[in-house]
Amino acid sequence: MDLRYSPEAEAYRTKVREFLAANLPADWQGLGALAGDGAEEWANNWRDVMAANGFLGITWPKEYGGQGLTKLEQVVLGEELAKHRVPQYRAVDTTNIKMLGNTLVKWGTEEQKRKYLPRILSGEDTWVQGYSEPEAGSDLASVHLKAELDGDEWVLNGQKIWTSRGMEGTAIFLLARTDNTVAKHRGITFLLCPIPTPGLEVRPIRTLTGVEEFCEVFLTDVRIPVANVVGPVNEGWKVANSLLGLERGEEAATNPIYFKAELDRVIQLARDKGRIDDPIIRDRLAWCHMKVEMMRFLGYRILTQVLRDGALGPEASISKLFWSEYHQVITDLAMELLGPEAMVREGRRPYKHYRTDEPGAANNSNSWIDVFLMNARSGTVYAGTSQIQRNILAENILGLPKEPQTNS
Amino acid sequence: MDNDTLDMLRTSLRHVLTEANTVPLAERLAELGWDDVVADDPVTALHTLFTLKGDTVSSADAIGPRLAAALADALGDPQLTTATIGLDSPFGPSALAADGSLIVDAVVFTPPATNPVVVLVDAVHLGVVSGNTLTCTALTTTDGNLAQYRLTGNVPAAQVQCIEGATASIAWNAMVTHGRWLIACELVGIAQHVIASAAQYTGERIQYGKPIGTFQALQHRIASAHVLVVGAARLTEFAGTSGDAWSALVAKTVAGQAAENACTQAQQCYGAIGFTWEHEFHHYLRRTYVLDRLLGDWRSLERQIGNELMTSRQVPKIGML
Amino acid sequence: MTSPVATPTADMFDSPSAYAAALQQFLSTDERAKPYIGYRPHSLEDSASHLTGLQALLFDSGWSRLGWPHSAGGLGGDPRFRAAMFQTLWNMDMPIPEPFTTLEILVPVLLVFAPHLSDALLPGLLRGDDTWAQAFSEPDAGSDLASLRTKMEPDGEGFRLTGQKVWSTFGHLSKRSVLLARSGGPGHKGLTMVLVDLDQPGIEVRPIRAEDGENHFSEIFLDNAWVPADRVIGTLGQGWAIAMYMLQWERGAWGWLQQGRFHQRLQQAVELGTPNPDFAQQLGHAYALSAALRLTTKQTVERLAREEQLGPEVSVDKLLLIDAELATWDAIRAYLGPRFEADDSLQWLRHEYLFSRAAPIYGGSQEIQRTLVAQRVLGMPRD
Ligand SMILES: Cc1cc2nc3c(=O)[nH]c(=O)nc-3n(C[C@H](O)[C@H](O)[C@H](O)COP(=O)(O)OP(=O)(O)OC[C@H]3O[C@@H](n4cnc5c(N)ncnc54)[C@H](O)[C@@H]3O)c2cc1C
Ligand SMILES: Cc1cc2nc3c(=O)[nH]c(=O)nc-3n(C[C@H](O)[C@H](O)[C@H](O)COP(=O)(O)OP(=O)(O)OC[C@H]3O[C@@H](n4cnc5c(N)ncnc54)[C@H](O)[C@@H]3O)c2cc1C
Repeated sequence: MDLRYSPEAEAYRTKVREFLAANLPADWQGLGALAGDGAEEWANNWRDVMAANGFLGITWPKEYGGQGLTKLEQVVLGEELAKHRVPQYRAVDTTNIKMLGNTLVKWGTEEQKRKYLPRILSGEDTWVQGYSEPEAGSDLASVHLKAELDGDEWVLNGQKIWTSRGMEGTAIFLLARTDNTVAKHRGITFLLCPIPTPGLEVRPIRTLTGVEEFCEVFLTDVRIPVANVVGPVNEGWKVANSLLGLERGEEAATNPIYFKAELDRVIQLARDKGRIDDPIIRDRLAWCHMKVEMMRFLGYRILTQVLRDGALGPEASISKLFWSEYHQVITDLAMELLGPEAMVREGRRPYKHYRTDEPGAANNSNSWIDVFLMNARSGTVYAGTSQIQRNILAENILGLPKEPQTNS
Repeated sequence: MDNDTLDMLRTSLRHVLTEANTVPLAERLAELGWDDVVADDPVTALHTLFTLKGDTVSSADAIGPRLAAALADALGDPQLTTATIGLDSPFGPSALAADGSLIVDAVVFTPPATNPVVVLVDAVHLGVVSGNTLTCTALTTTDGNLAQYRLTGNVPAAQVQCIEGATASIAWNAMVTHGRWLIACELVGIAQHVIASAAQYTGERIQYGKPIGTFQALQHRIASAHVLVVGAARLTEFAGTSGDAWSALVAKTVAGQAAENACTQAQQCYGAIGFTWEHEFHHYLRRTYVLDRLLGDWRSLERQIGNELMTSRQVPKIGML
Repeated sequence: MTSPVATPTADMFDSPSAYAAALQQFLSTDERAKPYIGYRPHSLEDSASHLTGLQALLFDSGWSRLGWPHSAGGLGGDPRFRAAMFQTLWNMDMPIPEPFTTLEILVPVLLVFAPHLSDALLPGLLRGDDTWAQAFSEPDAGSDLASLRTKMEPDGEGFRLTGQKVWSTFGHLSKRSVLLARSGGPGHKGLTMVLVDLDQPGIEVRPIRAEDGENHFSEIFLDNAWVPADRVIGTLGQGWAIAMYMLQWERGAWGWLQQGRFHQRLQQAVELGTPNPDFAQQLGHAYALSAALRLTTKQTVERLAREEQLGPEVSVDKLLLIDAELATWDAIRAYLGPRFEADDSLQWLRHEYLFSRAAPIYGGSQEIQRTLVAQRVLGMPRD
């Protein structure tokens, strides 16, 4: 573990700080402090400011609109933004920039990179993720969406589901079945599809908190050019998996910051409710503090590893399990502190439906009810369920024998 | 009640609880001859109603009238059977001012109209005022289906009837005991439903070429959740027959915990579908959180039990052979 | 009030609770019971020999004979009397002689499947003149019991046993053991249950020290050990079915006995400890689980008393027992704090704590029970 950042990275940190000092409102409290649709609006504008100042996609090569910087600078940027309580971009940019953008940088053809990457940064294109299907959740490799070549076009038939922020998408990246005569991981292709497109229909699904966060996407004889393949045909599984490694380094650095900010809010809540001297509450708060500290140290390890080897070790699964299961405990504690107030919805609702509420959010019941019911509880489901993470840990890391049942 | 009668009762209650209807539950129950059923065998009748209410996540206000009946009974004041009992408000307590006026802040399930409203002021004071002296505001609740209202007001001393001393605390505690038992029944009904549905779902949902219910990771979650629910069900049955405060307290503690745990385990088994509005699950989840918070959430009740054991230095046994 | 009775009979009491009250009266007035009240063992062997006296006293005075049929040396009445006796002993802070727990499991089986042995053998067992063990597990057959290999071959008027058993509770202190052996082909159809004398040349019993330093269990080595034909319990090949029958007692009646202990130990803890809100929730949690276990196993005991056939749902009792046992000891340990760790007079309590950690293993592990509940009770699919 090497905790020192390079002089270049520290210089970049100074640059980021100067940018933030110049561009953030003087009394900036965090996105959470903005009421109503204010947060949504602010984040939309902010990502444009970020883009205009060259702070989006900074690891991408310059010729595609990036800054040609290293992962370390990306980490520094993430850290500084988190510390200053500012998001990097809109919620939907997680799939747009982080997932698809980075995948294209790694796997895209020259033409794809030139065409799409600048449009992603400028916000002209917004990509959403179409992996899961009704019959392919944990067992993602069994995707059924059929893609057949017809001349110089792919013809798509099937259905995707749980596409986060699908209503905002101007395009969707898909995993499709292109060969069903081979082992299931081998016949998958990574495809790009614009929205709207004839034959493609997006239907929002209301979440249990009553908001429209994810969507179903129906595809009937949808035609896309043959060039819309990312990576080799039938190697979409590899393309999709390489993405995971890209995400985790930055997360490792920023998670502890966001979870610490959330813990501070809970401590404040305990004060507000007059429970701060309660020994059992103190015990639980101390426990949470320890977990956040552990998350930080785990983060350093992951970071060192990613930066040194460019690859991820077992810590990736540990980290996912760690923060997602921790998050259920702390939000449960917040609900307990709210007491009877947790029965009644009051105040602003969170801007995003995963992870913590935004820094600066007041301790009103709506913030905690939504984060508890949706953000925290879904954390152990999306991006690989806890059960799947444990299988990975047990089998790939600890060398336990494979569960006989999942060999298929 | 013999088994056939009980089956018939279940069928008609299920119907009453699930049909779309704007007529208050009390009136629909009256059509069933409910009062006679309750008079005949109150424990079975109420246990059945509230367990089914949990099972069907019905939003009818069944508890309000029962709390009033229990309080009226304990006070020997039949007029109070029409009362509305004000429970803890998230916004603050009710209080008696120095001049004898009553500052009311309480939560109820049905607007009181002109009926009397009873609120707890402190351990030895209950305040009774007429519903039309109070402001009634509908609340946006976590469980969007279960109506809750906030009552507020500052009622002059002349319009406040005060019940004091041991009479007050004994009556209020009797009401709390009755309420805890009924809510425990409802929570057990929820938990049983959630477990049965999740077990069924995991038998139908195929991943990796087999039902996900074949994976031990899910089997063991559901099985261990079921175990706590069985414990809660036994405690709840006992609390019904014994009617004592301690067993109702323990029953509600375990029932709240069991229902919450059942929901947590089930939701993980459902995967993404358990996070949708379309799937019925979320009704059970949200109802659980609200019910658990009525008359003491399970964590604070656990602490109450522990404190009681430590200070009395007595570990009571619930149920004799 | 019932005056102390020479020989109690079931029809003297209109309920097991009435019996319990009378027993309590007997135990608190009879001089012979005194040495057992609040008794704290120095070691398992010490306790075993000391408590044979209590077992004999309860038998001779008739109290422990209630709840057992006459054919077993009992005085009639249903199993609730036994359950009430256990509760009374815990209430009085008197230890339950270990053989009682074995009795609860083995005697019902003998009564049904080997009635020809009961007259001759059971009264001595009840009185504590004999102690029996249960030898099922083998080094290579634990959870997967049906894979056991101890061989049973016909030889003249009986059978010869060769193989190895392990984890047999109190094996080294026992005169006989109920044993499961392979008399036929593979799988559970090839298994037979027998009652074998341990004090014979072909058998060697070695105690195994458990983590609390006590010899809780033994290995049994069998080399051509002899068992006469009339010591077969049930019929050849019926062993597995009988073992399954046994489980309803092992998992159900056992749970009731244990909840009495948990309540008693919590009582000890609140008497010893200094009230401290830090531990309120943990104690409350342990108590709530023990109370849930009490009512759940109460129902099971009542069903057994009505001679209902219990199914896989008794695994729920066992699972609840595990949760309650672990929670109870964790809470006691936390509440008593440094005293729990250091006080010389609490050595026995520390041993019980350590032994509580075995709850998820013995009598069918927690994992196995959960699988049973999931598949057989809740109808989740089998692979
Ligand atoms: C909030 C949210 C946002 C999402 N956003 C997107 C998105 O933008 N794009 C997208 O493509 N998808 C998205 N998803 C879908 C997500 O990837 C899936 O929910 C996830 O892969 C699990 O699949 P499933 O929901 O079908 O559950 P299932 O796979 O059906 O799992 C149900 C249960 O079975 C268990 N299980 C399954 N297999 C095994 C096994 N082998 N061993 C043990 N247990 C097992 C699981 O752990 C789980 O508990 C989102 C999901 C959520 C909740
Ligand atoms: C205190 C104590 C007293 C005992 N007394 C007796 C006695 O008197 N007579 C007697 O015959 N035996 C006795 N036993 C033995 C007991 O029955 C066994 O320990 C038990 O059956 C488990 O077997 P094992 O120890 O070989 O563990 P294993 O079977 O090797 O199990 C090891 C682990 O694997 C898990 N496991 C095994 N199979 C599965 C599966 N299919 N799915 C998921 N998990 C699985 C288990 O749950 C456990 O966690 C006693 C044990 C203890 C601890």
